[in-house]
Amino acid sequence: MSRDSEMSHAARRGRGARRLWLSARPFLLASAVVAVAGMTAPILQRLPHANLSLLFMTGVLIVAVRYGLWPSIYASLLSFLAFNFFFTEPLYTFKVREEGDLATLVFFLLMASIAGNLAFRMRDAMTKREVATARTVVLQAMTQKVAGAATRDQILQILVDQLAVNFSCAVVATAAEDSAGTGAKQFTTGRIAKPLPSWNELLQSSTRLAGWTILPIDTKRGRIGAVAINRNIIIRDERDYANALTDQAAVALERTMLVGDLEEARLVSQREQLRVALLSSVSHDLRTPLSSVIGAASSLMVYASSLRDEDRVELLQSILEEAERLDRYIQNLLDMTRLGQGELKLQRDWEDVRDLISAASRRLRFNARAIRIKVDTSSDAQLLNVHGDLMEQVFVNLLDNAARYSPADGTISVTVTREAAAVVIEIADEGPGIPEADREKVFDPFYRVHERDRKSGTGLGLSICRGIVRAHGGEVTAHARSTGSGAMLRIRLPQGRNEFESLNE
Amino acid sequence: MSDSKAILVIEDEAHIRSFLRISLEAHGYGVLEARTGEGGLLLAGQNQPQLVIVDLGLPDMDGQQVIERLREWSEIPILVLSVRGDEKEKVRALDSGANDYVTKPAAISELMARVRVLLRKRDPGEVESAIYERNSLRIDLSRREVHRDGLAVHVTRKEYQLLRLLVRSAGRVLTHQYLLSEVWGPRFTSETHYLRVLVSGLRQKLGDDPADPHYIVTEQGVGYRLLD
Repeated sequence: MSRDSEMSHAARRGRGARRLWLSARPFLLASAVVAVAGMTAPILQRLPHANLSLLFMTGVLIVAVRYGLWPSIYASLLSFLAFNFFFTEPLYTFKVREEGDLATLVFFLLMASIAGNLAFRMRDAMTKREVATARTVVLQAMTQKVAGAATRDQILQILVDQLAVNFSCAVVATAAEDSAGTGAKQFTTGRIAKPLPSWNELLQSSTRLAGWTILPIDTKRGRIGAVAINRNIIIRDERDYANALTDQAAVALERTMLVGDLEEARLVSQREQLRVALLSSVSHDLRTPLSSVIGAASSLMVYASSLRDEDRVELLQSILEEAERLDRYIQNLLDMTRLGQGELKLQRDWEDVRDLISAASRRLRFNARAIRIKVDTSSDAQLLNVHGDLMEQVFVNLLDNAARYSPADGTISVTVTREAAAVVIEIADEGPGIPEADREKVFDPFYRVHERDRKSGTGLGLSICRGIVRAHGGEVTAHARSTGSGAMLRIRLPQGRNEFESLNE
Repeated sequence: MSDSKAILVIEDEAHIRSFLRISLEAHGYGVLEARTGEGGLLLAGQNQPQLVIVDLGLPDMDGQQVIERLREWSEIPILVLSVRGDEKEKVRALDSGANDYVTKPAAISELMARVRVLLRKRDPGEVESAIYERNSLRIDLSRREVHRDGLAVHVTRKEYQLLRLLVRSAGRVLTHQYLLSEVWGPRFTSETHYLRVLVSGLRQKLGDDPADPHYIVTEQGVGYRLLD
């Protein structure tokens, strides 16, 4: 501690000496200039007095231009004295005999003050221009920075940091809660010596606060915040500059608010579309199987005695199949809700991919429907760390889809292979395939390749597959089958290698 | 009513109750019906049924409670009805003493198969069979032998342990936790990948197709079942 204070003491002393030197230097140099003029004068002795005085005048002008008003007045007095002492009769006295010499003094003083004044203004203008240029550069840099900022908080932090650097003091910005629901917040930088202005004091920037300069942040929507600089800024230039920086930030803030509004509008319209699609799907996809069930069941009841055995079996079969279809649909709706509400908590466990496929084909009753499925797995890709129940649903939906589009004697092939850090599952059918333009759209909820096509199902299955796979950090995409016609759905699931990967050893 | 083979159905949905009654009676079982958990427990105490089918979602009490209270005084086989996506509940029910479960909506054939398996052990005088035979597979527990197509299959010690457990409960689901704790020890109940690897190897030796199993069936999220 004591060393610190000693050091700061020494530093203070050093600083004082430096200041003294800085203010004395122009005068010492002015003296030197006059001395040079005085020593040069004897060489030019042959010239008349008037011309010698011009020599001193040159010195005064030099001092005026370089060091400003007061050193130049000092130099003119010194020049007059030197001129009077060395070069006018009576020599080596300060006596003034001729009126002309008095006039010389007056002219010296006059020239010195005019030139000094001019020089001062010139230098002042130059300094101001330098400051202005520097500020323009800062302003431009700031414009670029805030243009790159995406959020309100980033912009305000940039503003606060910039003002703090420029005014070398603490700065506080306060933002009111905005329309996008981003909460009110304060941004500070630097150490705040004076008590922090309160929320309201900042927002009602009309109030004056000792030690603070408060600038409002105004947009077309009104005041959205204020920035407080921990200094009294009195000079107009500085105030204008601070205002310019703040305005830049305000413009950027307005831009982010517009972007937020657009995003909000887009979400609302998307939700609306989804709601309409959901309603039409519920009415269509619930009603259709229900009408089959009701129709078949009532036929059985009314015509029970007169029906042939095979017809009765057929009616019963359709009741069963349609009811199972309803069940799958409801499962999908439930899964969609779980995914949509972000309530889904993955419960990962080790699952054999072949078990998942087998469970799915059991649920789809592939055995009874004589649908052939060929499964080809590589031994290092069989064990997956996934949420089994949900991945089973993915297989149910993908296999259901593949079966719907398969020709009567078609085979669905499932291939599971390993990549460095992922397992890739490909499900290919021998159907007509998916048109290239629709390969991304099929994952939109309720999208159907052909609106009237009963075959294309509820339009929910693939979007749920995508939701579930993405929840696992993976992706599912639609492709054309590499050989022959047909669609190929590819799931890529990030899976690190594990020590149990070789299941068959 | 000869209650020697009566089955108690505890289910609040009238339609499901009636469909169960019709199907069970068609198989020659007597049926007792209860709409609530309390009613079911009362009937069970009065009538000593051979089997209880209980729905996990009841209006007056949790199906799990019914199982626990039944188990306080009785070893009656319990078959649980539950919905898909509720694997945790199924495991919980099995842990608290239920013997098996059926996922609703279920085909009646599946339900009847479960009932048959659960009742078989109750037949008086039946000696627990030490031999499992299905398709070309023959497992003889008394001689510690596994044959496939008449040829001896060599299985490891752990594989045999697993097989023994499955054969002794053929047709019934065994939970992951149970199998892990029996084969590896109680500290290993969450190491499901051990079981996956073991089952996968065993299936290959038995010539079972995992994508379309004929012997060992995976019950997603619950455990394994050896087809009966």
